[in-house]
Amino acid sequence: MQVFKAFIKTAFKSFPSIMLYFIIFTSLALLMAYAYTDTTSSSFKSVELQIGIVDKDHSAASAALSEYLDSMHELISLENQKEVLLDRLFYRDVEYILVIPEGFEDNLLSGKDTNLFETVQIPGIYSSAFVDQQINSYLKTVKLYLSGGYSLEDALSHSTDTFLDTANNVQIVNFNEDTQHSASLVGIFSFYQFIPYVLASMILCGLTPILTTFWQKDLAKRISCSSTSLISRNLQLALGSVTYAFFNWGLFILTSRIFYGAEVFSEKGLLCILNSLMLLPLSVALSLIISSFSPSWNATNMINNILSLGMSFICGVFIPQSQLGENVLAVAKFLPFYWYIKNNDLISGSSDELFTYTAYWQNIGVQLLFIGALFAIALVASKMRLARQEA
Amino acid sequence: MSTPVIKIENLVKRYSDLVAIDHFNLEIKDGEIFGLLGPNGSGKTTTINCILSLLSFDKGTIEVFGKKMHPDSYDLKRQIGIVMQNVAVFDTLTVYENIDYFCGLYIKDKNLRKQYVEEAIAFVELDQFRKFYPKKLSGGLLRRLNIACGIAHKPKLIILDEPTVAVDPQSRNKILEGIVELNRQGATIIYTSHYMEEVEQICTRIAIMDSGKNIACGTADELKQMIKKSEKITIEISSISDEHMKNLLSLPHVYDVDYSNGQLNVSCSGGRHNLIHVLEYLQQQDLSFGRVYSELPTLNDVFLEVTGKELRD
Ligand SMILES: Nc1ncnc2c1ncn2[C@@H]1O[C@H](COP(=O)(O)OP(=O)(O)O)[C@@H](O)[C@H]1O
Ligand SMILES: [Mg+2]
Repeated sequence: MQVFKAFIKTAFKSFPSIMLYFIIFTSLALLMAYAYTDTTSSSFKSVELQIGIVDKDHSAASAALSEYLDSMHELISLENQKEVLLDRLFYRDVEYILVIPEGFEDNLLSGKDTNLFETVQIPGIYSSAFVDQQINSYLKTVKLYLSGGYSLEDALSHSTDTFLDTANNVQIVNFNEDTQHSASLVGIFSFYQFIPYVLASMILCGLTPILTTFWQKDLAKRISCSSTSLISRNLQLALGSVTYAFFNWGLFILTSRIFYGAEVFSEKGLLCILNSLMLLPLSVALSLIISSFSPSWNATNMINNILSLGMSFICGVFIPQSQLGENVLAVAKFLPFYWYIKNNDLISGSSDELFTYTAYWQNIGVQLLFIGALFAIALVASKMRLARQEA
Repeated sequence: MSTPVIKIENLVKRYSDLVAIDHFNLEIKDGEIFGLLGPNGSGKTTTINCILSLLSFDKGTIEVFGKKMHPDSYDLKRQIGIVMQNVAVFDTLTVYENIDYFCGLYIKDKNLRKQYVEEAIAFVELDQFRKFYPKKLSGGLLRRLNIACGIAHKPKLIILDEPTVAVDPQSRNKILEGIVELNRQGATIIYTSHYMEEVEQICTRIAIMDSGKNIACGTADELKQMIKKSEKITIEISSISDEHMKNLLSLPHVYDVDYSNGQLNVSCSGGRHNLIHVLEYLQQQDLSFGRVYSELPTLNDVFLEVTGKELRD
């Protein structure tokens, strides 16, 4: 275990600088995670809106719709005067105005699909789209009951009942899943979103110089004169790399446990942790490739930073993928971090896609393919290194 | 007769167009301090790398302890200590840790290794530097560390490739004494150098290499006897006529006389009293002269005579 021992000794000699990385970037990640948690919880509150309502139909159907909305929002009855409405909206007395036109009930009964109601909204406010959705799905359900042969009265009351019972579930389906997560889970998601950069940096910065040293021409030649077999030496190097990678990974798991509590090991938390496990072989393979080119110490640092920073920026570690341009994302798809973040978004519910295990394992699968490809490249690179050193 | 420690037959190694080793033959016996002497680029390191199976070669056979050497001949490698021309140590490990690392590549037993490492440290006298990192060591100390790393596991065959390059005279003497001591303790030594004085000082047998060929092999005395010149007489004299020079040349055993820069050089081949004969002649002719030196031939003379060029460039 001589090679392994020297490996670990060497690794821990560069430990102080690696710890500096860890401390600086983990505090940054935690800070950003907290900022992220705050915005989501405020958007959670804003789900309850002040809705102005103008009922011109005065029918059973319009009353039922009003009652349904009232159960979730604050409803304010308004006169049907354009200036008044715009005024109220302008001064933000209300954030959304629903106008139920005359003939609403008849249209509903006749199965009309479009223009059942009108709305006046403050442009660019996300939550109003949310109310649109709520109204639409309510009306859809009413129509479902009607087409099932129920009377209007029954259809309305059944719909109201189902929605009031399952109001929360409807929200889960229709709105951002985030709103359902506890604050610590939200923190966990955002913490794990930042991990790729720090973890990759730490593994690359720690591992690449060691491997470069062991593979430096003169040392490699000298070591291969010894009576420790090539296989044994390589296995020990591999063991050293794995140990080092897991050690760093463990630091992050531990940190997330300390800051977010036992929920780290809830189902969603474990999914995040498993996803982050993919980062280890990925970083190790990258490190193997880089060190095959025997870069100088400075070059090593530069390459490490370009790789981890660059990939992180493009793939949505720092900026959410939803805010990245299509062109950037098209490139990012060819980088492993993209699939890591995509999976993290999937678990946290901040992607367009609904969470399914199939989708989750697919993202893991893509990352495994990347890992396989990178190790293949690493193998070729090390063959090239040997050929170069023989010459 | 016991099997030779190293037996090389007809070794040929090419680097694309360049023939680095050209039908090289060599046999090294147990207990020798064998010197491989040759100018830079003559193929010493390449030969060592072929012996250690670090390089594949184009032709010929190499046997170590009577067995063919392969990259995975770990039982043979166990018995070989190697001190490379380029210092190969870990910058991230201390003197002690480095020696322990390399020793541990051969010696698995922890206690035995500890003892060996301590002995190696004492041997190269690096005790007070044991906690130093290589970057903090002077050139001479670094070379000594390199040697300690190569010999700590007490190999039967020790190969040292130019271990004294860029070393201060004091460290150099320590290193040479150490090599003789290792040999006294039973190790066979292969020592390469382009310094003929060192090789002559410690080696029991010497092969002179040039352009990948083994051009002469034997003890230092045998090598010197191989050549015509046996004595070189130098006399400081202000002027001398062609007539006198002709007469000197006709003295017994003298085969060459030349005069340049106030120095008269008389080369002799064989004979025991050449200096006396030359000085007698000068006195008879009433020629006054200054200092007189008489030198036995050096390995440089051997090299010069065999290859037509100086060993030192
Ligand atoms: N890797 C290599 N590629 C091409 N030529 C080489 C290589 N290594 C050594 N040589 C050439 O082979 C010859 C012998 O070199 P070397 O064995 O290092 O000599 P020495 O050790 O006696 O100084 C030199 O001419 C050198 O330039
Ligand atoms: Mg050499």
